[in-house]
Amino acid sequence: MSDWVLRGLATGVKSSAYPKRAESAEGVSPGLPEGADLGSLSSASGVSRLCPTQALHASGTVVAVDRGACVNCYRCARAPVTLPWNRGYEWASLTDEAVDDASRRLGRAFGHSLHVRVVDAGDCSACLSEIAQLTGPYYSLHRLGFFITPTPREADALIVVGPGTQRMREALLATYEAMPSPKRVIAVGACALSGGIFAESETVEGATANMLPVDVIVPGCPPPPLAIIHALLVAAERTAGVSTR
Amino acid sequence: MIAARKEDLRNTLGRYWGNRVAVYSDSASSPTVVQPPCELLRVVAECLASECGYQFSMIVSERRRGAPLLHYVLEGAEEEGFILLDSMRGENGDYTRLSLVMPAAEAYERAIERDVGIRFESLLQAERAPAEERGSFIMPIGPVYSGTAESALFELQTCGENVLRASHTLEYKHRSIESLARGRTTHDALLLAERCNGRSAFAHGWAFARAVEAIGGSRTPERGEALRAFFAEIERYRSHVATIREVCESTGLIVAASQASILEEELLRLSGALCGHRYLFGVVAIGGITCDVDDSRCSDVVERLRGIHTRLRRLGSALRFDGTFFDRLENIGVISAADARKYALVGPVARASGWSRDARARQPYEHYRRFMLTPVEESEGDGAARVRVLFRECAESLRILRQVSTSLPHGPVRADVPARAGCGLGWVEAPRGITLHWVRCDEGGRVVHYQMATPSLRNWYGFHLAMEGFSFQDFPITLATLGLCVAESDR
Ligand code: SF4
Repeated sequence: MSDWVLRGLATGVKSSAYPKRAESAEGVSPGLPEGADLGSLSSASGVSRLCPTQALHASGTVVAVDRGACVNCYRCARAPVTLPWNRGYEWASLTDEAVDDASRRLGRAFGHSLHVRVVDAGDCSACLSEIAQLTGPYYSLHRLGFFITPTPREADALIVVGPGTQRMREALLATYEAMPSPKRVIAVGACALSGGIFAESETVEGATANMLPVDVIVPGCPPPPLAIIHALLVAAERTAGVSTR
Repeated sequence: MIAARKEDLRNTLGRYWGNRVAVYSDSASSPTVVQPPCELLRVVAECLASECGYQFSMIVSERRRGAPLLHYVLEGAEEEGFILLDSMRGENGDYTRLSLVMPAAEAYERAIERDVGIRFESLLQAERAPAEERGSFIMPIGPVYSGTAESALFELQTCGENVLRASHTLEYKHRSIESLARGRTTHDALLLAERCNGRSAFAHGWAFARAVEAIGGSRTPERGEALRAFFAEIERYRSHVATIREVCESTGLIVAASQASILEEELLRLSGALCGHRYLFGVVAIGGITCDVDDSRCSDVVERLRGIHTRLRRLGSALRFDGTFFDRLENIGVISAADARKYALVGPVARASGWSRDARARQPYEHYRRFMLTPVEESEGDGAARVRVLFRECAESLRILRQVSTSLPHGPVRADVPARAGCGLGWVEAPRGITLHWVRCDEGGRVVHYQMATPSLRNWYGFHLAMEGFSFQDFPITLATLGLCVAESDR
């Protein structure tokens, strides 16, 4: 057994410096498109027509991006005329409801540390895989005071992934009910934000917000581990989210 | 070759039944169809299995002139490709049950009975009932359980030690992917195929694209084929490392799990840097791939993978010398070769039971046709054998990657695929076994019918085989070694 201890020590520290410093390693984020003025009517409407989930809206020469609907298909990044690409990961924001309703805030009593229960409401397994990375050495979530817990009774926050399948509705609501208040709901990924590519399915409810009061949203298909860390920091009120207004 | 096979089939079947069994194919590229009259269906299936070595893969249920028509897709032995065995409604309105001679078809027949609303003759033994054992109870697990597990419900019947009956319910993640594809262009439906299982998105997307390319009758340029194999092997490597991590986690070896997790994250970053997406979304396209990677970049990737592989090997030998790890895996969750064969299991799970089905070797496609590949095989069929297969296949993937990177053909990576009406079958050896995608399109290139048979879907048969008779507390470990994905089964 002691052998494993030595092995562990010999590996050294791998953890990302984020949020103290930005993470500069390559390949930590799939990126998201940014809205832009493309300078011509035809390019703007041409690019926005490429999108399979209607995440792009052209008005005049300007293209706006609805990040919650983007499923990272890269069509608008590989077309003849492309949109600028955001390679970052600080994508999380508080929902309007969470901003307006102060009673939903967790308050200082939480010491800025959260226990989180994850519920899979029909994800494709990529979002869950990114969440599983969080507890690995590269992101070591624990150093930030965040813990993934198997029991909802101990959880302060609920992470929901997937397009909200009808058959998970009951289990999802039961999990939410079992959590003590105050509690926060974090919708992770395109599916949980808008239904993503499954939005039109007859067996899904679409956005998590159709079932639960959502406080924090983070786009991406899937959102990379650093974006989910950002969402947790926003949920714990340790950083301000992206402004959506 | 296809024509020769059709002749062989015609001769074999003709010897018994003359011309009562029709053998034909719609076009040169579409699979051979065998169409026996209802009353002969079961004997013909038996003959195909025993004399020609065909095994069951999936059932495609389509409507032809209002009435449902079932195609049983059978996979041939060495390089024989796939054939369709058609089943039509009998005189009394019922369909013949093929699962009596091909047990692997049972789950499909049940699903069709439920979803398509057609009736099979009622010959089947009752559903597996709970064992009668005094003092036993059923322990439900799920659908919400454990830290980051997929939603599924398991019911284990036990007296406290051994599992008597194990069953699983997969219905919680149902997104209706296949019916969602209907009416979409093939380019849009490809996004759905990728997202039936995000962790092997490339393989599923590739199989879907191959089905559409078969309809269009086009060929991917050589460089595109080579790079597809390149991406697919990166994905396989990463997927195997992820499964190894999950097994380490399930046995409570935290340091080993962390070491595997480091490698997994590095592989994800490597994919991200190579093509933009950590899970290779948006890389495969109908007709090829969307992003060319230049030769020097490929050699860099192989160089970095060698570094990763050195550490994976070190992890492997550390696990071998740590008595506690393989001790926990040996003789648990055993699946015999006979059962693997009976239920037509696929992928590393089947190969660990000595049933070496690997589409890259048996039904070689695209770039895999250019070299010999000997499937990895172990015979014990227990958890330890499954983990050994994963380690050995990682080495094999690296070998393929090196081979591809040193012999990349030049030219384009994508060709236009004409939109045509018709149907096609695409298959690819995904990380967890062969995945089959059946697509029918109209003239405008829109999907009319889409069905898939993913490796996990087929390997769920392995779940009760591996659980029953073994100890209750081995459940998480056995489940991890089986590497079953819920998303691609319950789709
Ligand atoms: S990358 Fe996102 S925004 Fe761009 S076309 Fe694809 S789904 Fe739409």
